[in-house]
Amino acid sequence: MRRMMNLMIAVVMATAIHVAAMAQTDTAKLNGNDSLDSSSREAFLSRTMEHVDLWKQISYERNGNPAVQSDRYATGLSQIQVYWQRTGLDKPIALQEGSGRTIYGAEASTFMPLGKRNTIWGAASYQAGKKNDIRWCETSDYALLYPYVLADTLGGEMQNERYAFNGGCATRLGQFVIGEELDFRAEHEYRSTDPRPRGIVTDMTLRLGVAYVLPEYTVGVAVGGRFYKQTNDVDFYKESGVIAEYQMTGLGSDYKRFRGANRDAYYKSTGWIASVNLMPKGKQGCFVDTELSDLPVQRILTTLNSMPISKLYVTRMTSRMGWKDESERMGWRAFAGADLQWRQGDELIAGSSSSTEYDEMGHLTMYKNRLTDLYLGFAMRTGLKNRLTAECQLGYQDYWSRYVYPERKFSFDKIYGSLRSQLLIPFDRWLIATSLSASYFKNTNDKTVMPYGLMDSNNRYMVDYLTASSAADFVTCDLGFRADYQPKGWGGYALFGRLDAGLVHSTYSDNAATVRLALGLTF
Amino acid sequence: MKRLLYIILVLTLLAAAWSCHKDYDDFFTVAQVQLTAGDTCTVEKVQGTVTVTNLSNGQSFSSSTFEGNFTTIEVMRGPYSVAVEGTISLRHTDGSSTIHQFRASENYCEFLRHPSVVKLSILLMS
Repeated sequence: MRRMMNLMIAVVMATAIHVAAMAQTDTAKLNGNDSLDSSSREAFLSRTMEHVDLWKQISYERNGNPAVQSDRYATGLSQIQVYWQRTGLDKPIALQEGSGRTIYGAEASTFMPLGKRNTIWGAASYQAGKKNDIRWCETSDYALLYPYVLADTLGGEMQNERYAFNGGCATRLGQFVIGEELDFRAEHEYRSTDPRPRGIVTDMTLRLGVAYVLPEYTVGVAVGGRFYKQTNDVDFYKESGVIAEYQMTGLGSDYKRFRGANRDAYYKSTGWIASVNLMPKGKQGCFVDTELSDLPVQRILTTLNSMPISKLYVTRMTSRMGWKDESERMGWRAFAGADLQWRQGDELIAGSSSSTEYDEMGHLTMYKNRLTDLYLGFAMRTGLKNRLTAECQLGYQDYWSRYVYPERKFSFDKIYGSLRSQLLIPFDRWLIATSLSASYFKNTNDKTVMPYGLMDSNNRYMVDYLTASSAADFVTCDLGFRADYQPKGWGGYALFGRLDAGLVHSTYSDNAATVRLALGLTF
Repeated sequence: MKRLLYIILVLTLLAAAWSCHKDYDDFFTVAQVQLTAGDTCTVEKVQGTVTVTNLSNGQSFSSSTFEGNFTTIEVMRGPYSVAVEGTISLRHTDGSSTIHQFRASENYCEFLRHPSVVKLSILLMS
């Protein structure tokens, strides 16, 4: 890992040195190359605007088909950046996600059309940092694996390191476009004080897509596979002893039979993804983006002869359908969408044991949850030189979860409204992008059923916190400012800086603030 | 375009159906706990409490209603330990009846079938 970090720093420094050398050389030639410099400035403004434009992001963010990505940008852009981000919370929004985090890293990305037939894109990043005050979760990727995590009542700070790579290619063959994409993430989390969890994650997604270009529409179909693995263990080094580790099973319940000293587990999963897309080729038409994915994750206890004590099925369906109409000066999109996620947790019925080997007697589907998000939205873009893009969305969320016995239930409904906007202003050698987004989620109904008589005080606190925080109303507000500047004589190179600030106010967990600063180079 | 939209809708519904998983929703069963007193006597009447404890989640179920020498309890399917305690009336082969304090237990048994039956030999305490 250290070698990779040193390699990334070397790449950044080499590029900086190369750019400085180019700047010195180009300055000597500048006086006789005003028209060349002017065309370079126009090229910088047009490609940077295209890649920073919120309208492009809105048009493609729901489309995971690599075959369609070749139409995303007409120009190529490469970018290297270093960033730092700090999030501080008055109280955790979720105990398992902690009360704040500090992360920093470096990222290099590129999107490159190669002639009329081929397009390539890729990214590589390294990120490190720490998460503060994680409780009731000693497993990485809580948002993916809940409720089947390893937990204890102490918790603490978690150090985090992450490497991520992404690469894709799309090729046009007559009426067809073939695309393929690979996403890879390796993550390592650990703590240096008791209890000492350690989570090592590898997460790879492969997608293969095909698009067929009709006279008025492009139809795309993509399939993919996701391969996930995490090894997770908790150690105690102090002589003062150990505390029990819980194999959580949903809504505060745990698998009591394997509570205590079973502190080594691993998660493995092979899932699939499928998507269908319809895009108008011309200025107006209907668009549809639908993606379905399924990820069955087994939790296996290493110390019990690799016994899979539970299996979690995470299924997601996102679908958006609408109509768009665009001209050079103005464009709009009206859409309706549905995002559904449901989880099913099957627990093993373990039979009699011979040493550390248990018979598998059957399974019970003890845990289920379902999140339904239905929304209507409208987006518009206006302006030729200075561009304003705005999108608003009104929606309804319904969340329901249940653990069979002893019965535990939690549900809530919320209505929400959200807005995001961006103003792009190019002038001289500058491109200024200002973004503003806000949302409000209002709880309309919530219900909790818990066997409080069977729960100890720690468990009651955790469950009450989870239900109260999840059902709370909250407001978010984010402000972003990005400035790109191309110095004279720098050819195709430009500098950029970005500052983002966000605030979340919840009626239960009070305030959370995030600040992010990024500096980089585009070329 | 309409045809394309219909095809997309059908493909989406097919994929959604494909992603549905089997529900293991056979959660509960009836457990029958029978008390036996050996070959020389039969159980006439029992007054006591049966406690079955689920080894997976630690939940306990109890019953004090006996029909002859057995009681039935609705329990969640799984592995259990059983403990019985109370007073029992036994009829011997010579026709006499005696009353005793008793206990019976089983460290591991499985309540998975419909119904599930476990037979316990009593241990006389007096």
